[in-house]
Amino acid sequence: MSKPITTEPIFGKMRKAYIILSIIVSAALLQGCEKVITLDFNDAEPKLVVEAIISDGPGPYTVQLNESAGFYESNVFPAREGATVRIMDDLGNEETLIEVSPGIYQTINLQGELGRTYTLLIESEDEIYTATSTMPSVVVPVDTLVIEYIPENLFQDEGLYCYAYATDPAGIANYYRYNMFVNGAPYITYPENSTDPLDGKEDDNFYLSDDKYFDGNQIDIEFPNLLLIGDTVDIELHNLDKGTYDYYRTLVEAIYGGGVAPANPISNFGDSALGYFGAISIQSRQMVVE
Amino acid sequence: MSPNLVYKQHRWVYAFLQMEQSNGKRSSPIALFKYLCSKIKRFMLRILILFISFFIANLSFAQEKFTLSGYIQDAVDGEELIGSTVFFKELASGGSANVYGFYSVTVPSGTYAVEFRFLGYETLSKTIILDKSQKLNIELTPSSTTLTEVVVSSKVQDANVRSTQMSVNTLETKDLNAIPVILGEKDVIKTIQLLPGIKSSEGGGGFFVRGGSADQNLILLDEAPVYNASHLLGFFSVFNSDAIKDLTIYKGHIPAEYGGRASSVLDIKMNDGNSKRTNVSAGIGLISSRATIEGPIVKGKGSWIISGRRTYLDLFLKLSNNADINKSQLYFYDLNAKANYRIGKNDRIFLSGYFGRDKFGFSDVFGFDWGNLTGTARWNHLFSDKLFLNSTFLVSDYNYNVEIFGDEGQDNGFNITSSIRDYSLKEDFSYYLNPSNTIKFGANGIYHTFVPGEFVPGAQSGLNELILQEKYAWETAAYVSDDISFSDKVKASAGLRYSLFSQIGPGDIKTYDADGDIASSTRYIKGDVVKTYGGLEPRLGLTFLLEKESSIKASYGRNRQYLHLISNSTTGTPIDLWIPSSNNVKPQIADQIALGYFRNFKENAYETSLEIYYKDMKNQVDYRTGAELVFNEDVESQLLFGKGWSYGAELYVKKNIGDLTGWVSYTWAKTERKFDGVDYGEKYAASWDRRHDLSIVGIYQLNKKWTLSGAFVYRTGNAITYPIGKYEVDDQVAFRYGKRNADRLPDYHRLDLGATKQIKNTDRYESSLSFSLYNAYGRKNAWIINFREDPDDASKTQAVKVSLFTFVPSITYSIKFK
Repeated sequence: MSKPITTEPIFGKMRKAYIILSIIVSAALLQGCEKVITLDFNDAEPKLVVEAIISDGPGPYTVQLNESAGFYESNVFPAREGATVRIMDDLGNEETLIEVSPGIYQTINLQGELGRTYTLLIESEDEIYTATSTMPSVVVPVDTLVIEYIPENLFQDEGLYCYAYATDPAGIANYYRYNMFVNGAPYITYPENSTDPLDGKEDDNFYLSDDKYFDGNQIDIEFPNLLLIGDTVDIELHNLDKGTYDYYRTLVEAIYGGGVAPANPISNFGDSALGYFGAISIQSRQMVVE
Repeated sequence: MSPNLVYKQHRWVYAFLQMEQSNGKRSSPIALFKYLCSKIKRFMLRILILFISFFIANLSFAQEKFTLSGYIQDAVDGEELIGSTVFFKELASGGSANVYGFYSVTVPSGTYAVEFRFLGYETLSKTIILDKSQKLNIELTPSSTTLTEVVVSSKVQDANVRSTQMSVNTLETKDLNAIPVILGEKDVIKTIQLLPGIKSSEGGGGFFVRGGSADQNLILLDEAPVYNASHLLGFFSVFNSDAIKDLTIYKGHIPAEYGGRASSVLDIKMNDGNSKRTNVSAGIGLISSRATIEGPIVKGKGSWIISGRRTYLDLFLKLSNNADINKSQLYFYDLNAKANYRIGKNDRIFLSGYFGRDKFGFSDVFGFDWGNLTGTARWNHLFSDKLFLNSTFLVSDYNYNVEIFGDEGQDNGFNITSSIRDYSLKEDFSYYLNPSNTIKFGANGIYHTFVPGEFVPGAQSGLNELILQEKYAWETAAYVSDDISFSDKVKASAGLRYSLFSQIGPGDIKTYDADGDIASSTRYIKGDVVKTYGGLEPRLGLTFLLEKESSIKASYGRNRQYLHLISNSTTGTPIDLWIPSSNNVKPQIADQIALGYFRNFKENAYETSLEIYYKDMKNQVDYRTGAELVFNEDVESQLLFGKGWSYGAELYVKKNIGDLTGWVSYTWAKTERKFDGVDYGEKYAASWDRRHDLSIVGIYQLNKKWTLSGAFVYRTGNAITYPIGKYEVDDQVAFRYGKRNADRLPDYHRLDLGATKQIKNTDRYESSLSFSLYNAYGRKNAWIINFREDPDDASKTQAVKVSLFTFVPSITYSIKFK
């Protein structure tokens, strides 16, 4: 079995090496310490947040509209109600979504198709927001899933891990996101000595990669989550266009506090709204750990 | 006041009024300042022209004169005394020794009382009958009152006031010894950050000079550029202080012989070695040990030195029970070697080299190492007693190597390498026309090779090999400069440099559109010129001596920079990438003007200076939002270009003599940038912009055995970007950001204490014990601030300050055999 390489960009590995180096240096001589502090933030006016995905899978597709909140407020994000939400494709088809619950808008008949370009148009509180995304025209299926026993090593505890295999189409740039669901939900990691659901941390499923290092080869994706016998594993492989990939890549930085000059993710709404509208191709495969 | 001067003053007022009117609105003080700066620049250029004509006149009036020349050395160890002076009493003028200890003074024939001086050494007086040109090599004896020379940076009395150079600081290794530093690792880079106008970063190797970015500093080790001066994530520099003779940092008015970076030159010279007898010295510290051996090559003809140090943090890792950890490596080492030899009276050769590396390996999983190599071969030749030539060939290389090992018995790992390599040839002439006029001229060429990245996977890895295109460039320059005294009161130093840079093939050269997408690609074959840039770099410094011990100085300088550092962090990492100027990336240009008042008190016991400056920077580099900078063939498409400017005032008070020595330096400064691609072209603070920066350094000689020292620093926090809110997507809370660098880290302050006890000082050896305490009152300065979910309440988010280094004690034992 090969090393866990493709679940993260190669340089993630280097970054990991670097983080470990930092930790050793800290432990050995820096006595680095953390302290929670209270800062005086310049909280801005609430802004519209859009979460919208259309895929080649069956509908309905959901567009969720919320508002942003201040840094020290609770993680309660008000729904944006009463908006007019439409999705159009490049053939001139158009569908107006229905608000099924506050801030949640759904399609009725629309079926996403490979290679189509979709435009999302939102009218809310006297503003118009638009974003366009193209669904990749190539389907990249998950060929096989394999469960493997791995002994304890630097990066992993001993136990059962899931590997997914797919074949990257040669000669074109492809961008992927891999999602893992265990027993129908994102994987939950518990801190040591705790199984309290409140302590658990859901896997963010931000496993992203482009095919720069493996164009045309078999992709092998190792998921870092420890599995138990009897678990049902669902692996989704999302094929993204470059814009959507760049959005997720920069979103990860915005979630985990990013870089020298932190900024909002690259969005197809520009600076008018936060969030993204993505047209993506999704393939999945399921198996039970035995 | 002469009528002419009055008229000129009126013209200034007139020009100022005219500007106010023509704009039709009131200008901001900054706009006015900028305007004045442009006027001063023009004024300076006029003086330059005047100056050249003066110089030509000077040449034609040259009459019969004789030359006194030779070398000035330390009588004990034979080291050249750089900057020592030769003073002709009857003429009240003289000259000074260059960096090779060579001096040359041409005066009318006669009998003179000549004094050879160097601060901290006995002055040597000689009566010289100069009826023909003659060579005279001088050895000066260190003065017995060594207690007072703990901190000495001005080598010659009033040198700071009288010289035409401003915006410059010099340190000798003995300055470094007393100042407390983290873990007792004496460090030139950390020490210069206590000087005015030089901003530091804790936990980073980079430094910032007068608003310039970290890549705008040319760091030279025996004339070879050092491309990455950091060890161990920037906590230490690559310069082993045992191997360093002295260093000079030019923050403005950079002499014309230097070029290639926009903001500063840090010129570091290695020790030449003891030419009188063989010496061994060593030191043992908490994290590293070092040893130096030096001695003569045929006594009096030459000398050699080898100096090394190695850290042994990884020895502690060996104590771990964990098999992964105790199989790991984490260390760095430095090796400096130098030799010089005199061939006959007129020739001398120097060979010097540096090799240093960081090695980090984690078990059998991965290895990561990086380091510099520099080599310098020099040949000093005297064509005559007035014309001195230094020819230099040098090589400099920086590279890193990452290896991810495969599984046992399988070839499925991979390897990543990247490097930059320079080969360079330089010719530097000095012509000592007469005591009031020294001319320097020369030329150099550098061939740069850039290897941005090579990714080589094992055969069984399932990954493809990826080799980023190598890049090549020629950088050449020619210069002439002249140090001239118009009168006892007015001196100038003018230089003109012309630099030329060509990006050359082979390669597929691309252009990019406004979004950073590829617009076109053209194939060039080997040797084809893709793009050439070049231009003049005028430099001018003026000194007006006022009454005794004080002067006013003004300077202007333009610098062009053809290489750019692409980095994911402001402070530098081992995987930072140097890229050449190209069809997409224009050279950076910096223009700086500075004005200063210099005053010494009590016969040089106190040196003070106040300088103000304004710097304008063009074609500055920043990055697109979400830029992919690492291992990207199209990294140039990720860049944004804009302008920057900085201005400030620097106050410096230094006490040279007495039991208590040291300095206070305070800088007020502002650094801003403006990029079309950042916040829609609004100006923003550079991350290294800091309003206040204060350093206080004190060294107290308690008695013959004990020396105590302390250093206090206070500075405004760096400009950073805090969240302006949060939102939820993908079931995750993401932070929302507003304008770049609109916020500030909390203020930074810290006190370091040190004490050195001399244990033994006999004829055979001397030994000492040094103690230091870094961050003595345990201030928890913010290194970074992280934003995250509250671990105790998932419905809240919190800000977390991460601090480094509170109370770091150290002890070092040093011994020197005589």
